[in-house]
Amino acid sequence: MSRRIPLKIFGALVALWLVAPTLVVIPLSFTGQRSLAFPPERWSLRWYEAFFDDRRWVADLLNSLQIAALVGVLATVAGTAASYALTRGRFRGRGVAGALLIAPMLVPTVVFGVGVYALFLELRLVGTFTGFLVAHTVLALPFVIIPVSSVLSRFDTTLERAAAICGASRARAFFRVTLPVIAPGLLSGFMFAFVTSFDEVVVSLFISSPYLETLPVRMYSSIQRDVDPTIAAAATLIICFTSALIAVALLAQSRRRRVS
Amino acid sequence: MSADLGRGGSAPLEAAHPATAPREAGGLDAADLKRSGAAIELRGLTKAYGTSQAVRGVDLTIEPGEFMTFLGPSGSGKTTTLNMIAGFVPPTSGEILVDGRPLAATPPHRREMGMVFQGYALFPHLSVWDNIEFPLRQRKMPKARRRELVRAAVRTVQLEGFERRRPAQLSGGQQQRVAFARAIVYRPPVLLMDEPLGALDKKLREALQEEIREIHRKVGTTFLYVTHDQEEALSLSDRIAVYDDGRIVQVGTAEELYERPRSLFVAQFLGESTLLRGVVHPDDPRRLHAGAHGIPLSGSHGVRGDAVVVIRPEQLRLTAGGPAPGRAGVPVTVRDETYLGHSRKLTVELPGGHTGLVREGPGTASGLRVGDSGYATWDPAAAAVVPDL
Repeated sequence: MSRRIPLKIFGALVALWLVAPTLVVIPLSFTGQRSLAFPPERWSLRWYEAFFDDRRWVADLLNSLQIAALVGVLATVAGTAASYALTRGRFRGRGVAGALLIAPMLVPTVVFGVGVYALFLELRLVGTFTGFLVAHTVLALPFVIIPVSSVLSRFDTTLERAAAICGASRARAFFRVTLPVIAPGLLSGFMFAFVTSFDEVVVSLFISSPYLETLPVRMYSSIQRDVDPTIAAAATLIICFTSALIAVALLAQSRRRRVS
Repeated sequence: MSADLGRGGSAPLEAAHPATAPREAGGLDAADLKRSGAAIELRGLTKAYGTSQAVRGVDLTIEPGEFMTFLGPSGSGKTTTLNMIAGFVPPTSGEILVDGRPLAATPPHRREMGMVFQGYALFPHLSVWDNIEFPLRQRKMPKARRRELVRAAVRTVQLEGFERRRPAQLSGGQQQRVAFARAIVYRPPVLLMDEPLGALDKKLREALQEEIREIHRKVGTTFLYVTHDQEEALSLSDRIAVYDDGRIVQVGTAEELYERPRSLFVAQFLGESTLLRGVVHPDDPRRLHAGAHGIPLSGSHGVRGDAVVVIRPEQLRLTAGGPAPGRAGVPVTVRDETYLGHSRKLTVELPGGHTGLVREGPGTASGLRVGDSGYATWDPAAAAVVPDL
């Protein structure tokens, strides 16, 4: 037991190293000063006030949440369908299709952003809600396909045969048996897709307009112009939000494990 | 509908502890579960995967309500045949008829069959009750009827008190019972079973074999059972179809297959035996020429050329002197002896160094011991003659 103490200390140090840069933002958001000096000398909630008083910040937060939620749903549905085809299908070009669907994760985001911008100019999608949905869903797809393909490849297909011989059509077997069993994979896919969209900045910079931008885009442009601690408040809100999302998902999964 | 089921259907669903739950006799639901099974006919059934043939032309007629077992080593085509009957695997050629109707165009979910899978394939996200109810929900049965049928099935497999559990919270034997209940709950005319006891230990297998036989007697469904375990096949089935290399090599009752195997494969796959190899001359079918020995045969076998005489251990008798008139015999030396309580098993050395097996019951003890020489004798009519490979 005592021999594990050094290991635990090492683990704690690695964990700290991973999250420390993120955590620095939280005290910064409570500073009373007009700069991002660390550590703050005075404390206040004025930057949260500033955030919620500024209609543009709030509007961008709502934009980001709406886009992320819709992207999460779209990417989960499309990604699950694609994963099903990739793991079960026996068709020509399956390998190529799989590689293409994963590609958005591997292609440098700037390159992807330039391409999307050029295409969206032509299609008049720059600065539109639809444009954000389409671009973010493409970026989020690999993050759904990877976990869902992994649960699908471990899924025992005799369960579908059992459902069939019990009288369920293919569609019913999928919705009543396959889907509930692979649900944990779908949930993590949805979360990854949501977060991918919610904190996406590079492609969003290309396709945003003064009329429609997302929270990360505003944060980026605000730090370019002035060093305003409102950005720290915004960042803290994002951290809280994504942490809560992950915590809920983890809780749901551990409860599931205890039940089964 | 029986009075018992009516009461069960209206009672509130309680999850009684298994130890305190009353075990009602299965007699009353039996009448309700009873529904005649379907006849199945396989005609020239073939399945090829590329150039390799898993099933090569299977013809078989299964009577309504019969317990038919497909027995064979793994890879012999028995499970592929079952999967073609279930509709999971399309035949390359040939036909499957149920009660005279061809099944080719019917997808699995419309075949009205029940199936117990090798790994049970229970739905892990559903409780025992919901698993068993699943086929009834697919058939859009009214709630009261569903409840009635699930109760009856739960009682048939003696799982009262476990309705709320998830499959992962059950032992292997209990999971097997749930799989069984799910397969019979809608009273299908045909029940398919793919090595349903394969994952269980020997003692549990034997207990469940009894129950499967009992349920078959009660429900009257046609049972199609796949196994590679010959003892299981012998103890369960009305008839057994022995598979070898994609073909059915012999069909018959357990007795027919054991006492009258038509090939060396069947003789060796089912039970133990002593084999005597030799030649039957075309003009003398009543004698096997084995080296210097001439072994008398009963003339009804029809085998010519290289032949093997198959003698079951309990048909052999050891004597100190030569064979009595009318009996065949070869000189042997006792090499080993195993005491089995109800009988003794003796390993003997035959002429030419081959080994034979003799089982002696209380009434047939010879008194020969290890190292003693004597004769092994048998009634030629009780020995099977099969072509040598």
